[in-house]
Amino acid sequence: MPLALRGVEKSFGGVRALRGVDFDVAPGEIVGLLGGNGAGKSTLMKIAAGVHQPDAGTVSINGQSPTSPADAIRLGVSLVRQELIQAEDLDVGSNVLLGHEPHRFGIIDRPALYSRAGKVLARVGGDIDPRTPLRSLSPGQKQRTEIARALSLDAKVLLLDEPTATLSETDAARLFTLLRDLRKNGIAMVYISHRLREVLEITDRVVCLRDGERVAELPTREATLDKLVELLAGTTNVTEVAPPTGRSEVVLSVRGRVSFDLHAGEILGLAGLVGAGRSSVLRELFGVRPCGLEVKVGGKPLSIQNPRDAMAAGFALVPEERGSQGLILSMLVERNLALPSLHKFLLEDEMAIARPYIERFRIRAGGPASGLSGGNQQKIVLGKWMARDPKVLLLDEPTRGLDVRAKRDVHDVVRELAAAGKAIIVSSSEAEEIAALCHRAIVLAQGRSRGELGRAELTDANILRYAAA
Amino acid sequence: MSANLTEAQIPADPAPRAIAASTSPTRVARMKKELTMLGVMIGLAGLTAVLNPVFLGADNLRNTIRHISLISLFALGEAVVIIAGGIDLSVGSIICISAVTTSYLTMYAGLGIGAAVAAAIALSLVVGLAQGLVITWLGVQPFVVTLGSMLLLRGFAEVLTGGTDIGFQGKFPGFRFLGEGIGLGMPMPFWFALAAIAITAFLMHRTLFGRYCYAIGSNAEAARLSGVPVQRIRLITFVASAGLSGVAGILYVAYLPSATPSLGSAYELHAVAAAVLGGCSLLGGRGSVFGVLIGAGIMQITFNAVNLVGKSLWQNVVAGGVILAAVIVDRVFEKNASRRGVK
Repeated sequence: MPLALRGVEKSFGGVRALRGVDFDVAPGEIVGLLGGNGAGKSTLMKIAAGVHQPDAGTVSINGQSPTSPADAIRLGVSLVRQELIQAEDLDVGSNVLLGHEPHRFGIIDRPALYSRAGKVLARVGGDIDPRTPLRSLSPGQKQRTEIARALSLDAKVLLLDEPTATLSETDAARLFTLLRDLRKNGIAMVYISHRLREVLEITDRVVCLRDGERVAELPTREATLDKLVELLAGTTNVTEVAPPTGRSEVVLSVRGRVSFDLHAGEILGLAGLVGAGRSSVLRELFGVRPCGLEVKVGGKPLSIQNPRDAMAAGFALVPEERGSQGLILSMLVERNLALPSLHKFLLEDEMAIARPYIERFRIRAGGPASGLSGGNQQKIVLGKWMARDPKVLLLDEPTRGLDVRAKRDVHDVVRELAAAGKAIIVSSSEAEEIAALCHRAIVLAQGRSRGELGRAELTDANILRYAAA
Repeated sequence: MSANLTEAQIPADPAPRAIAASTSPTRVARMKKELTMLGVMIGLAGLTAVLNPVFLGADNLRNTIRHISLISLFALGEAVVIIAGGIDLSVGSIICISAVTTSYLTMYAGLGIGAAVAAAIALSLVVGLAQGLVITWLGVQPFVVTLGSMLLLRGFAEVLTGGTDIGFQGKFPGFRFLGEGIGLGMPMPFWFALAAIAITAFLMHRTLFGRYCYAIGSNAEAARLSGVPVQRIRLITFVASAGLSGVAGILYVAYLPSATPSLGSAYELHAVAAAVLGGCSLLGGRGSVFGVLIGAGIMQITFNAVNLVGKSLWQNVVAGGVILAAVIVDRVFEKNASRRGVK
């Protein structure tokens, strides 16, 4: 067996990510690995690729266990992620053979490099010239370049984590042709994706994880979309969500590839997979990137050129990356909280602006924001916008990476803000989060709306069904 | 999902300790770097006084203060740029072009000294504005833009002067007093520097402009998403730096009292050194006005010490050594502190 995991257990800081999971993949087989956010898929793959060591259980690659990523690659297991190749200014050939360049006394043998890279690139489609700079490739070509790199290292097992998340349909189709081809040549592959139709199309067998446990396994030919949705969603109840208050007043109207009217006190979900274009909608509304949507606030058309315009119109954005976009980590907590509210030339009393949120969220002030837990950091990002008393809150993945308790706290704050009459848009890749928090939701795929779900139909299974389209 | 697990490694927040209203202990902690460097400066001064007691003589002290003041002027501008995440290599050349413009316009073009000074300051501000616009509108890196104007302006100074000194030949005693005179017991540049220090300290530590500079230098993207007008602020920092360099150039020409095309050579690097010694990070977001003054002090005391010991050829060797030693000492302290868990 090229890759066999037995009874793998792994905990991070007391949280059990994997509870005794068995997993194998045979030569010439593509196994689909399914599971919701936090189910343990990526951890399992990282253990297989030598990135993490299991707390208990064994990993065997043709009988040997990897001790590091380099070791796993040597044994023939490669994790394929787009961001692994990062030398964008080098050409494709140099990237494929990075660290393994043919050389004589330290001088790179360029003809050998390009011929060797060319040979392996021919196996992944033959449309990529090893001499073109990596940055000029499409996302799909970069993906296949990464696979070429793995093949050049004589990979026997490829671990593909959401390989189509950023690909166009044509690129995805080419990737599938390549994967089928590799399967014929005896390569074993693990395919992680939330895109259930793709899983049905390309895999031979499906393994489903939930809360770190392996809960189901079936041959793909016996699976249907509904069956997979059922496995993924588990037995979730429809959550009680208090109806929105003050439904009459339309605060924000948006028309374009996504269209909606948002009412005061309403929580609208933007659901969809990673790469579905949810963040773009919020970033355009906040003027972070050029706005391709028609926006009306309080009935009046609004042109949003930059975040300051959006803030003047009463918008607030809690961005996707709290460390790099939401907070200035090296800055004091209270200064972070006050930053968007400052407007006088002389500095106002920042502590006075920050204190209500510091007290309410029970956060320690006086130190840099980097010293706080992820949950408290996210509360600061919420607080810094609450201090401006915005009309419309745009929340992009507001609980990403948070533990259960912090997640619940953030949800409570969001509900409270809605009850206070704020209009709120929550974007999340977690169907459960949208179902638990929102009054209605728009499901996006490939950048556009694929349908709207009212409260009665808003279940994670329905979201997954639309999103998988 | 990987994100979930990374998060899980951070333990849930313990019961919140004192919800701090008082920030006094941390303020001292935040000034630690400056205080370390203050110690270095005092140590250097003491060592110099022991090696040559002339250091403490009234004339030498006045002269040292004059030079610290002049360095402080342009180092402050540099520090503002660096705190906002930029770098300004044109400082020395702007000092030179400002000095040369003043002496050229008075001696060769027949302008009054007041008009010449106004023209020199205006030219410096225009240079700063032009650099700032290329940097913010076109998005060219500050290093490259200011490197270009460093060479360009130095070249113009050479062309204007024909490669030689332009002296005032005994004219404008009132103007020269601003550079070489003593007012209220202090060299005149001291009073200019004091005004600049007071204004810069106020701007950086008490106004929105200053807070925005730190925010941009720490994380420009997060600052922009918080509504900070990032490009406008960056533009202002380059104009301010050029303006302060222009003023320094005028005081230099008043002091010397002549302008040479080599005036201010490498001063941009002295400015960067003063800023870094004073606690600025070249990555931006860190540093204080007080620290920059100490940095300028360390630089000038080092130069002075080497001269007093009679080894003036060793000036750059010693200055370079002091810079490296100071930042290494600071780094070692910081590492020890973080090992002990002190932030």
